[in-house]
Amino acid sequence: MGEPTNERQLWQDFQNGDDDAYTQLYRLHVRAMYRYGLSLVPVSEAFVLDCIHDVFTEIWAKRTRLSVPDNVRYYLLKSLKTRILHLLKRQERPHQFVSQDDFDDLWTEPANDELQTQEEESINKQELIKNLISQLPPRQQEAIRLRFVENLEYTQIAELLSMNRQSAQNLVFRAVEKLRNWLLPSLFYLFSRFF
Amino acid sequence: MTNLYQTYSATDFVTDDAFLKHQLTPDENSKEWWQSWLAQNPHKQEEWQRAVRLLEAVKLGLNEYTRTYLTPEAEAMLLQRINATNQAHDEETISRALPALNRSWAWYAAAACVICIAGLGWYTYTKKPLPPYQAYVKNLNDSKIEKINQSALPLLVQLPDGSQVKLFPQSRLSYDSHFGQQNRSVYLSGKAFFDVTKQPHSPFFVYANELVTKVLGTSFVVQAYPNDKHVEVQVKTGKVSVFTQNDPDKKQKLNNRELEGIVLTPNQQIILNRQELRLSKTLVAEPQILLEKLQIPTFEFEETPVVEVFELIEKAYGVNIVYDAELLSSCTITASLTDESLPHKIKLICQGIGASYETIDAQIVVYSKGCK
Repeated sequence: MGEPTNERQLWQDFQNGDDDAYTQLYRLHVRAMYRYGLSLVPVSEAFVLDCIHDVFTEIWAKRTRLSVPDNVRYYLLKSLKTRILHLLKRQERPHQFVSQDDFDDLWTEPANDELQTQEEESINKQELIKNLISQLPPRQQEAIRLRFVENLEYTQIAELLSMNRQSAQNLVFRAVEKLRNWLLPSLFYLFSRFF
Repeated sequence: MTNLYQTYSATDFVTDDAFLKHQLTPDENSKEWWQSWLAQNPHKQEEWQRAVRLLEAVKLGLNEYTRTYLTPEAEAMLLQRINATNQAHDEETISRALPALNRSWAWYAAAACVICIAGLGWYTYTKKPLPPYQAYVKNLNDSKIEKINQSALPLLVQLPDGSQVKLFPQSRLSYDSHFGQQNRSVYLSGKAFFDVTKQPHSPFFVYANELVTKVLGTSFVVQAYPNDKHVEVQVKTGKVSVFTQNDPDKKQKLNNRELEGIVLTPNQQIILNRQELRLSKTLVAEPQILLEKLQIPTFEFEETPVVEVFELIEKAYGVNIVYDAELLSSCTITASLTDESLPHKIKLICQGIGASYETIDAQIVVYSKGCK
């Protein structure tokens, strides 16, 4: 994440028209934006790159009118998601992603033997947990990526998922709790020193 | 605050802001705070440790996401596009501001504008987004090797892996000084003929404008001058696969040992329309016979079934001829075609049997109603 003070300085330099600061901001955040964008619309890399392009050119055009964000990464991820949703809505793309609240309820819990097979098929811990995470409802997946990888606070996650802070924290809690329960049976032989 | 954690489970800790802040971005303060808390609450130590390991596990599972890879080339190209858009925007803003000038100081304003525009022009000129080749080369390390052919004759370049490149006039070729150690990638501006040594485990890549050509061992021509509207790849021997820089599956195509995407075989060529980034596959204008000299058949036919003639041509030129064998079964031909080019051969045969043909996607499709 870098030091926030440093980033605030970079941001102010960029607002004053400093090319290098702008390029540095791009380099610091483009990979996070790319992975987050791809996780929202996995089918279209080119589309995600277009949206990143739009976000960066827009902040350049509006640079003198922007305020300094508390967390630049959050600001950029939020702008990216807004842009993606806007374009998807306008173009009514076929691969519109399902992200309404009800969707979580439709998500069925994987059956126990399904998990068993997954454990057997997983070559290592990383694979196993990755597969378990992919069983979580999409919004829970998005929430834990934002919490544990991008290190955003719950208020920010809540903004990105259009919900209140408490719901965002609950979402992360439910995901972690589920992973813990799924992992518990396997600890004896896979994770000898796990829980 | 201290009391709050008394009832915490591992999951509670893992979803707690203060705990996460300490685990993900620890500093002196947080270290001190948690150390003293743990010392005061020895009975919670075990649960706290569980939480640490649970978080480790979750992060491990998210590892693949964390390391989602954006190639340096793609990152550089995107930045270029962004800068180009910004520049266009800045110029527009300035030119829109001009008509709003007040007459009383129009003279000074005009003078200022001239300076302004001149300055901007110079700025645009020097800051112009890099053409693809320059962008590639910028990403190579400092000890990169670049060959430039300013002469009027082709220049022969030998690569460290034994591959040979015939670099045509007004063309440039660059590669990393570590070429061959991790990958075999070269960057081309202009035209070159490549004769690549076979290394099944190490594909060879040619980056030329927006097109990437991937081969295992073969010979082919790439033509990509900076101002051309098209990029062309023609295959002489072996197989190559091509894809564009903006291909959504590019990553996979780069890493996979197999050739996938659009695969070209000898006598085929691919043309990339740079504006629309559209690829089309055709036959080269003058397909060559692929067989060894001694194996080249004569194309002298006397009452020969036309199906046999097509089979012979398919084998000799490595092209695919599509026809209805049953309909053509009664057609024969008497002709001497040895010295004719492939397009001529096909044309004469079709005339002889009253058929027509067209070339679609590098295949020759013959339309006939059969012969009596």
